Amino acid sequence: MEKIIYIFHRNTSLSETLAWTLQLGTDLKAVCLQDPLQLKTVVEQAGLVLTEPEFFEKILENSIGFSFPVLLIANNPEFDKTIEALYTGADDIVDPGNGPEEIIEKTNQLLHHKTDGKNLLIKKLIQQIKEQGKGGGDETDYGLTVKEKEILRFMKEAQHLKQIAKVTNSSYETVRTHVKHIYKKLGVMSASEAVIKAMKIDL
Amino acid sequence: MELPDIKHLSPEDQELLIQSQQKILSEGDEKGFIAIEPFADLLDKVGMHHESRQYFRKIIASTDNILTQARGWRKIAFSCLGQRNYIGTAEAAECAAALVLQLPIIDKEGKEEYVRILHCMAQSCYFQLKFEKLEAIVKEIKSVLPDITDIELRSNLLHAISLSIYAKYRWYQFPEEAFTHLELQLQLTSQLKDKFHYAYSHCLGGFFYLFNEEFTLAREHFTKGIELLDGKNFHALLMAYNYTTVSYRMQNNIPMTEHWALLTLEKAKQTSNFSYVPYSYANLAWVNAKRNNWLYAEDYARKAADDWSAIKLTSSYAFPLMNCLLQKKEFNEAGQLAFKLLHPRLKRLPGSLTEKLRTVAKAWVSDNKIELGNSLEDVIDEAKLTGYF
Repeated sequence: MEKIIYIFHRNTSLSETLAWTLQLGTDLKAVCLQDPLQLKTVVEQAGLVLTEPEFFEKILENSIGFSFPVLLIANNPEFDKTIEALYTGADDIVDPGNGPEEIIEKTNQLLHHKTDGKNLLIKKLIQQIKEQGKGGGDETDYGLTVKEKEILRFMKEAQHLKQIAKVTNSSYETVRTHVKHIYKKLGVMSASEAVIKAMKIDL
Repeated sequence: MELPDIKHLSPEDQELLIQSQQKILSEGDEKGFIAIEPFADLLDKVGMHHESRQYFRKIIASTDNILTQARGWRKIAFSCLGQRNYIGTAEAAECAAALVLQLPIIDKEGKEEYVRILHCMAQSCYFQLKFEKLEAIVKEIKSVLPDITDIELRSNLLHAISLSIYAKYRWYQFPEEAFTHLELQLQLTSQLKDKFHYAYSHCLGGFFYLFNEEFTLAREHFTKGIELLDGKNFHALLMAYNYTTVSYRMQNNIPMTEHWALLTLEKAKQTSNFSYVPYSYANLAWVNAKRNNWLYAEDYARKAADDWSAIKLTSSYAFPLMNCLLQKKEFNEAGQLAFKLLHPRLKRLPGSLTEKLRTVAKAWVSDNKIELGNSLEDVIDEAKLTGYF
């Protein structure tokens, strides 16, 4: 079955241009979708997904059991949602403002499984957040279980959830459940916030 | 066998076709069948591509000989190429290649057919901007080239290598190696009896000089090509007509651009050419934009852009269209065009112009309307300075 690149972006003019760019640059068909729910019916054909970070969570929910690389379309890589998406499984970020060449290059890398810059990218982003979040210490451990602390430690080391699942011999879904519990206990909404808290409790 | 409608052709071409048809009718069944092929070749040569393909299909359907079938498909592919119908070319070339590869031991004739098919496939990939596939074919070509002694075949293979040079440098500022290659091709093809190959080499020469902005030399080659083609072989003829137009356009010569664009359009329409019809519209869009006839300019530019096969011609219509959009303050579409022009498979543009296009693309992506408007004006100014508008 011929693989298709799916693009999710609220700016239709940009997403259509990205589809045109990728079709010409990769020889694969590229299709623009407006709602991540639409992915459910075509997920088997997905060779790669390009998305705004805001849609990432929904894309995961609508593609359980399927695996494809995800490239985030983001002008601002420091944006919280971007970091969150990288933690939870997105593979790379591209700024379309840099032009078509970079988009094609990153897409081709992901299509040929050649990406290895993700951990560095997450580490860099965490460092930025750490700089911003320097403040008073916190001695509470928020009632985290041993497993949850282990996962949080891995998150602090800039490992994304797929990797954590591999290292801890757990399924991706199990790790996600643990992460949700961690967020709830720490009272945070994102991975970056969770990491900052983890730093504060000196985990 | 009925002769297709040939009233639009020159009296000389009509006569040639009638003679060829009479040969088929006067021969017996078997010999008559053999005579169909030159008749179909002739139809293709005079621009009756669709009709010629019908006869090639007849040949394929009525024989079990794999090599003849492969040759039939290869000729269909070339006929499609004559119209710049890239998808048709690719499909027919694939059929031809699949057939030739079925032959257990490829003899001399089979090998030659295989080389011709490779040449055809290289052109198909080139026109579809499938550069990786083109490179793979050229690699194969380079491996068989030392064994090829036939001049026509060698020149075909050299042509395929030329295509990879075009693709590598993306039609801008070719290096010295391109011209050495051209000289070799001209020298080889000048020895052939059929002047088409020599004419085509001149057309290719014009193409090389054009994109190195040596316009007078480019036109000399195109003129020589047109003269040798003698109104036939539209594949090459339209190329020479069209790029003569572009040479005048890049020198800001409005009347000559219009004259050649109309000539090209007439011939391209006559042969239902997929590429040179939209390219002519793009050139007419430029003429009208230069005369500040914005409505006509936009209409022509959109006609060019709407044609799917015009993707690789984006730079031919983008700047007149951008200027029209700038007049109407429709910045979004203009920004989108700038972004597209930066695509690494499209024509490379001068560095100064590319930089300005990058600024527009950045402003467009970040939806910065003020920056977008200002940078678009800079792009138009730079395009005028560099001969692209």
